[in-house]
Amino acid sequence: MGREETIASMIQELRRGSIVMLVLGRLGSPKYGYNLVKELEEHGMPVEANTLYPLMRRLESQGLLHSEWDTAEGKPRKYYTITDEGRAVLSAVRVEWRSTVSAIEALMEEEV
Amino acid sequence: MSNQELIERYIYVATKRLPSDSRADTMRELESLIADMLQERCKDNEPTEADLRAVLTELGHPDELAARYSNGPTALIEQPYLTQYWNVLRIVMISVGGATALALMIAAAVNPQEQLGIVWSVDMTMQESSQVIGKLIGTVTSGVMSGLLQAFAWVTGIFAVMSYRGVKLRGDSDFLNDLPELPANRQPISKVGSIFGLVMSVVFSVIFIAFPQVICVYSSSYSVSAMPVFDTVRMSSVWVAILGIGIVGLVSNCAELIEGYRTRRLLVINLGCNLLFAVCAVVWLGNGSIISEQFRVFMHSVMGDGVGYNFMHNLNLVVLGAILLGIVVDSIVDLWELVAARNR
Repeated sequence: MGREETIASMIQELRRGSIVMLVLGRLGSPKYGYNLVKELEEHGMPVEANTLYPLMRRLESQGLLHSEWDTAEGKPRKYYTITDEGRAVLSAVRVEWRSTVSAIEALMEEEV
Repeated sequence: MSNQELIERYIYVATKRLPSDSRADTMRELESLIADMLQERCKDNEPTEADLRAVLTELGHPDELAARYSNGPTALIEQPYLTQYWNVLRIVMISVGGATALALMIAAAVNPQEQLGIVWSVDMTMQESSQVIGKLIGTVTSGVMSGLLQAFAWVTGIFAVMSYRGVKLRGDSDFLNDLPELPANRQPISKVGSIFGLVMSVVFSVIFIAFPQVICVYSSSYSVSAMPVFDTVRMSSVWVAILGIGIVGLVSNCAELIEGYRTRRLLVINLGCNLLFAVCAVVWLGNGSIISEQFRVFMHSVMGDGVGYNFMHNLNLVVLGAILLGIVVDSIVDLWELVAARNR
């Protein structure tokens, strides 16, 4: 595997580990799937639609998201929102995330 | 094909294996997603077939999308079963392959007419012998392949069921008691060498039991063609000893393939095999009548009296001596490794 491929693979793993937290964090207000795809892309965290849509369905089955179809506009769209359970999980994960990032930063500074 | 039909076909493949309670909703959501992607790409223009194909290509193969929607297992055999599966498969395939070759070999030696459709005769010509050898190799090969396929199917099927049902492999605290002892020699045994040894054990047994006449002398200057070295009648009377040597070779090489390293267990097996090998070799080559009289007479006419002729006259003892010397050296090396491992 060349260097570029190795770097791309590691970056993909980094993103894969944080995508669930990001999805929960951005669904404080109702959004439909493609809306969230574009939002994450604009913020420098691109996620493919074929990854995000099945993920949101899985989070819904776990009780972390709630969904509703909106047929008021021309096109029917399924909107997702975080649930109370999702908020509790996100809050706990966020604490761990901050702690992990601090630890990693400290360790990286020591060696490099 | 119209755009709508293409979309419907795509969504059908992506959702056909989903549970029925979520399939309709997922289909509707994918339709909405495709519409959003087309709108972003085409803005106010009517999407062409090329636009639609670009969007669906960006979404990826519908089978991959279906796999992401599915919450089931992603592989036939998943960890922690996969590691055990490879271990068990390796042992079973080696054992079945070796045992099948051995069984077919014994059957062909005991009853060649029934197994191969031939009537074995000590007076077979070279051409007849080579045809029969070909038939024998074909029978053994097809039998071994059939056995290996069955073994593979059974082991894979059993582990697939275990993986699917989540059968517990072992208790959490058991693994510490099951750790194997360290090998006497940390160098892995060459698989190529062991497989070669395995094949040669089978070939050796087949040739020396059924077709000893192929070991022969050719000489154009003395007008000799295909003079057998061994007395074929005497050879047929010691076939059990020759078979024993083949069995020893099979067992020894199978054990090497399974163990992979020179463990204490393998060294003990090797010592036992060496002992059996020595006994069988003595029975096979201990009697001078095993060398054909024709061969002796011919060698005397070529070499006259002297060291060369004595060597050839007692060829059986020369070969036996070399075999026993090799066995002794190999056994000494094994014993030394065993003692060294014990003292470590």
